[in-house]
Amino acid sequence: MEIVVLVKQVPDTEAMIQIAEDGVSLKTEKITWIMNPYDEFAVEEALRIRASLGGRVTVLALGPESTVTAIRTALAMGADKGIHINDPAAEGSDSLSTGKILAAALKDIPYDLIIAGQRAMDDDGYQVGAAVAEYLDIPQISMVIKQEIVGGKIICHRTEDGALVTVESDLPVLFTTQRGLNEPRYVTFPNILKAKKKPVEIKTLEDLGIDPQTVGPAGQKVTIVALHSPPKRIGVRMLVRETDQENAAELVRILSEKVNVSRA
Amino acid sequence: MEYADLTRLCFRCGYCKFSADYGEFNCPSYLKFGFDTYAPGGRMWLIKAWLTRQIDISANYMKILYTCATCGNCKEQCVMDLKTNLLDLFEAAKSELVEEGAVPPAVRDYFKAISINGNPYKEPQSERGKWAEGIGIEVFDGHEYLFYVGDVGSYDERGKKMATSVASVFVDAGLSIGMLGEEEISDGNDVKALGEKWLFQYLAEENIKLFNARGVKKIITLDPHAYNAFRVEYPKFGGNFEVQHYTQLFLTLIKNKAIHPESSDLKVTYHDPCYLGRHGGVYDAPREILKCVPGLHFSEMGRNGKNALCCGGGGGNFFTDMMGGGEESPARIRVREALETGCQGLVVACPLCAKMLEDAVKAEGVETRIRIQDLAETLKGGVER
Repeated sequence: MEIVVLVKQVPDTEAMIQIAEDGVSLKTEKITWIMNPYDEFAVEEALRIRASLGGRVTVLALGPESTVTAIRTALAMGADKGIHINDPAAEGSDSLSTGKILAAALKDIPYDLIIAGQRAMDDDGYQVGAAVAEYLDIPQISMVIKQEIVGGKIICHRTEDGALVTVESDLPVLFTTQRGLNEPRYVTFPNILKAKKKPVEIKTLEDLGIDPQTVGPAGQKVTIVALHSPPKRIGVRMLVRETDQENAAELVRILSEKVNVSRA
Repeated sequence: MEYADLTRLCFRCGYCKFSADYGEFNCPSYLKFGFDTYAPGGRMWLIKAWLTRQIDISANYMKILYTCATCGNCKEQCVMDLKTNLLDLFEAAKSELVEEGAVPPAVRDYFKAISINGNPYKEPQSERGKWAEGIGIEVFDGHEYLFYVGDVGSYDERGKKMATSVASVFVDAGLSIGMLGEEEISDGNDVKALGEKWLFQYLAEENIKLFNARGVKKIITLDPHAYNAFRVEYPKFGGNFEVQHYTQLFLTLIKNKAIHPESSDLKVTYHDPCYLGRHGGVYDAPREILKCVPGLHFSEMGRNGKNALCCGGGGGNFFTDMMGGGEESPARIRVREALETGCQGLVVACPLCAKMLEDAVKAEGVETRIRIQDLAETLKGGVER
């Protein structure tokens, strides 16, 4: 089983985010960077599939130099090799361009399965997984909380508003992760250092045959016009259904979706 | 695995889970869960089964190892030589899990929060010294003593209250003492207790570097957990400082008449924190302090001193909540035990105990009958109801 996991480095969720002077980007100096939490689920699931079906897990990431930490973390978790697309011309790419670049890399990588996070915690784009699948012309299944591979087919359980949908597809497929898929394993710092022995290939846009004018700032189909800090959050959200039972059911729904609380 | 041979020395006498007079169970996790595997002897045999490949790592195996509060009652009660390294063995078994990455999510999240955010609350480093606002304690700059506060004292509501009340006593005494505030780093005691010895080493080395760079020679800790880490573990990494827990310095200050306890007619009892008592050997100083409070009525709980019942907050449980709550949780049992003395105040000397016991008081529904107060508050007449 050849499994490829798409990984992105994002600011730590507790980081103090400040808008840069240009008004359309973030200040990055004091930020702690982490692997996108949804991508952690992806790496973990890939490792579990490899454990039961055998094969290889390759991690693919697009990003600047610092992205190598996310790749090394995935390798420390157990992935076999990493591919890092590191090219300044790709910076400022929107979701579609990111998808295009990753798909171009994937044309040269054998895959039976691609796993990606449902979205990145910084821009909440939700698009890259879908874009990659479209560029590769393979099926995509999003928000997966459980999967099973049986005889060349994958069966996924995915969450939709208040419902669970079971979907089946032939491989290859790209699926995106939802909270509740698994609990990612912990990696100690020495194990992250040990992972330096695993191979990481570096690629540029030229290696992938991508014209820089079609990605990056020049290729943006979506442009950020302005960034604002959100208004101060109200402390309390009132549930105002007619009956206690309805309020309770609504509360359970909200909690399940936000926190993936077990219904036990 | 280090200490693996100790697993062959345990012959299941079962003494480890009892109190000194064998009248009660004194192992927090055994009290909570009731199954032998949650008692030290049971854990010993479970680890032996894993070492001899009779069982594999599983969620249950992890849970059993990670519900140990590292209180040390077993070290007191065990009659075999293996008692000396009993907790070290449990720690080594946990390190094996950590190395595999096979830890419960709550434990994983504790490690990650400390490595990424510097504290288990994921609060910004810049907020770390905020508890001290308005107290008048200075930022450490060549002072005689460093007041080391720790994660709980810096960020937890109840912990901050204790940090404030203890620091106020130092300020009133005119002591040359400063705190690190937003430069303070987690001491790592509970990180080590949970088996992440690599992260602990990193924290220890960073702290030693920082203390040496700032010329720190004498450290006063709020938290007995930090007291343990600095006193016992840091010397192994070249960190040699004069470490005291705040109760020890309080006693000195009282004897030197630098602080004057206000009188109180309260009936109190004292809960020995595991990391101050059993692990730290400090039983008398807090009691001497209480004797110096004019009018205070003091009585001991049934299980006290070396025999104290742990509040259940150790072994990282304060952060991971692996043990969970419930009527038979050690903190609630301890509150019931305190009530039996007829006291109105349960005096504590550890911010984790303070929070665990306060939550237990609420769970027991006895807020009107008993109050948790730290030693500093007791010196000021105790109560702010």
